[in-house]
Amino acid sequence: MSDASALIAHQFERDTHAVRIKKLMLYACKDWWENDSARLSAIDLEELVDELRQRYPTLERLRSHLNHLVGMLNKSAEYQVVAQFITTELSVLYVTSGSDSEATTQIVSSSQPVTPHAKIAHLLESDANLSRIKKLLICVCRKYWEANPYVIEQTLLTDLLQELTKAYATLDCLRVGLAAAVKTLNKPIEYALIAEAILQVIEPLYSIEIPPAKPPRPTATDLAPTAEAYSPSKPLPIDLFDLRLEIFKYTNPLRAKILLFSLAYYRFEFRSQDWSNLKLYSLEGLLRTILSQAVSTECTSNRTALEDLQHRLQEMAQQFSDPSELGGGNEYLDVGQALVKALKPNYSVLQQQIQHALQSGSAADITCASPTQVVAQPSASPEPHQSRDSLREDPKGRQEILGRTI
Amino acid sequence: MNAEELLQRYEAGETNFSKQNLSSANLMGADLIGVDLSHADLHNATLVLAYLNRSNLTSANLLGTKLCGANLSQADLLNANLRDADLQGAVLYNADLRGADLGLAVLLDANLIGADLRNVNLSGADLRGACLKGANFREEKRCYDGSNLRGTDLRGADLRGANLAGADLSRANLAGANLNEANLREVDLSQANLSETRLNGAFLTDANLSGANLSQASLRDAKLNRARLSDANLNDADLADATLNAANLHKTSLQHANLYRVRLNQADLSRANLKNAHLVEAVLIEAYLGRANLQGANLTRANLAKAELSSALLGGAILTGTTLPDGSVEA
Repeated sequence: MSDASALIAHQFERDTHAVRIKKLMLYACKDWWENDSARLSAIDLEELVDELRQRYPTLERLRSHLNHLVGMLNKSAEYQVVAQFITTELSVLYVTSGSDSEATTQIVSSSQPVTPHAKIAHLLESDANLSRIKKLLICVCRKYWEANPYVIEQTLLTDLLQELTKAYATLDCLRVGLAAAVKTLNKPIEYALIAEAILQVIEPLYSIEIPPAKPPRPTATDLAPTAEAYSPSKPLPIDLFDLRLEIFKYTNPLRAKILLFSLAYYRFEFRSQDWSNLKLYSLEGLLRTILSQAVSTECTSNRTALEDLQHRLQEMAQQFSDPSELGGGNEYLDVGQALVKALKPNYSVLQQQIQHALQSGSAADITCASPTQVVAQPSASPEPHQSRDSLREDPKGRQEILGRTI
Repeated sequence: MNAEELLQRYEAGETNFSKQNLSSANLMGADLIGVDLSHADLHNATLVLAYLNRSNLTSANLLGTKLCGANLSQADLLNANLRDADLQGAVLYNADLRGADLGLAVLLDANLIGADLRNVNLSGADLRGACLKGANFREEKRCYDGSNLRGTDLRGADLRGANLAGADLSRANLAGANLNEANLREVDLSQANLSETRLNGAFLTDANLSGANLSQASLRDAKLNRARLSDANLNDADLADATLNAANLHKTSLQHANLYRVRLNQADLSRANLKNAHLVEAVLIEAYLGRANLQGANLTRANLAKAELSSALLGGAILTGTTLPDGSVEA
């Protein structure tokens, strides 16, 4: 076990969120919040890993408690990711200890899922994005957005699935319902992937006979003896390097970001808050968001998706001008044109790739699409024990600014 | 001198403002094309979306200056102090940044195409998504030290064809970056994060990659002769047709890696983990495989002539048509 913990500790140390990981683990072990970097650095991560493992006998208990703690932090969005990462990494420790008692595991698993709903719930519970899955399901079943992590934690998946099958008679109805809900969110690309994952797992509920779980993807080993040319086991990531290069060549990257940001989220108004929000997104992430939005709205319009995007870019550029202190000029029409020019030759290929990524939900794409966060400076503000209703600061603040989050 | 005076005099045709003090000045969106601000003090000034094309900022103090979206194409920034400067989305196309200090600067999504970055300090800088295609960081003996990119965040950056020979990239984060065809000779990439990085056709001869994370990286046709890869993680990496002659792969993890037609002549693979690796038609002449783990590896038609294989683990390995150390060919 110590070997595995050392490995995990090493992994944590090298992560960009190392400080946050340590803070949260310490909080979970010792019930206090440490902001002092000197004291933090004196604490041994490996010991924390072991302590966490001992303190929480099951992975579920660990996950639940971490989520509970994260709910009390003012930066819960950032720490949600950290909590997920910790549970994913530590899951190794729980597997190894479980294998000592192979027999008991088998008995448990054979007596476990009884109804089809329970079976599906069980499958979804093992997903790393459980909280998002639940949020989206609550949204489509009960038509409101639940943000309280404790309520989310307490809501049973089996109940949600029962409600879901009642509310949506066919898989197609559900697909439409999910897509409609996703569109209203401020993180459409992330939730589009969640929706796709839900649809894949839930499918058996809608067929009369429950087919066996889909066969595992062939791994490199399965292919190795036969396929000498070697085929990679995962789909190729979407390559936006050429598209970005075209944008860099013909326009100002900052203005391109401002325009894309305004299209994807809310109109950029050059306020200090807007600037700090912009810094959370990379040009690549914004392009992905825009492209996937275009893919998902395609069928609703008579125009082609590219024409539609072109139209939306122009419309946004027209209402745009730099603030008077910047001379009030409108450079954005040119920026919009440069973006369309860059998108045009690659559009159909990109569209296919995005569609494929939305369907396969590959983890690599999720990470790329999520806002890039500035992690360099440690926060000066005390993080825990703030009222959950208190005004949240960036980037959580985004959700409030948007006013579009349901 | 204040911002207003500068703009008025520039408007009137004056361009030489060398050594002027303009600290904390607000020059947002200012048009100062071709201005001479060499040795000027501009620290904490605001130059967001300003036009500074072809300006002379040699040895200027730009500490903490806000330059987001500023156009600095073909500007001279030799030995400029740009520590902590904010250059998000700035245009530094073909800019001369030799010897500049960009430590901890933000260069998120900046355009650095063709920029001269010899002897630059970018340690701890944020270069995520930046375009550095064809940028030059090259070390030149007795002239320019290697550039300092220790701990630099280069995730998703475009470094295609960039010249980074001799640069220090130890502990840098290059996850998802594109380094196809880049020159990385003699670079220090120890402990760097190169997961899912594209390094196809890159020159990594004599590079130090010890302890680096190259999992799922793509290194097709890359040149890695004499590279140091001990303790590196190359699980699921794609190294088809790569050359690794005399490379050090001691304790390197290569599980499930694609090593199709790879050349590993005289390479040190002692204690390397090659479990389930794809080594079809790989050439391992005189390679040292002391206690290497080749369980489940596919060595079909691989050439292991004169290799040291006696203590390697070969359980479940596929050896069809493999040339063994004694020169015999397995049926």
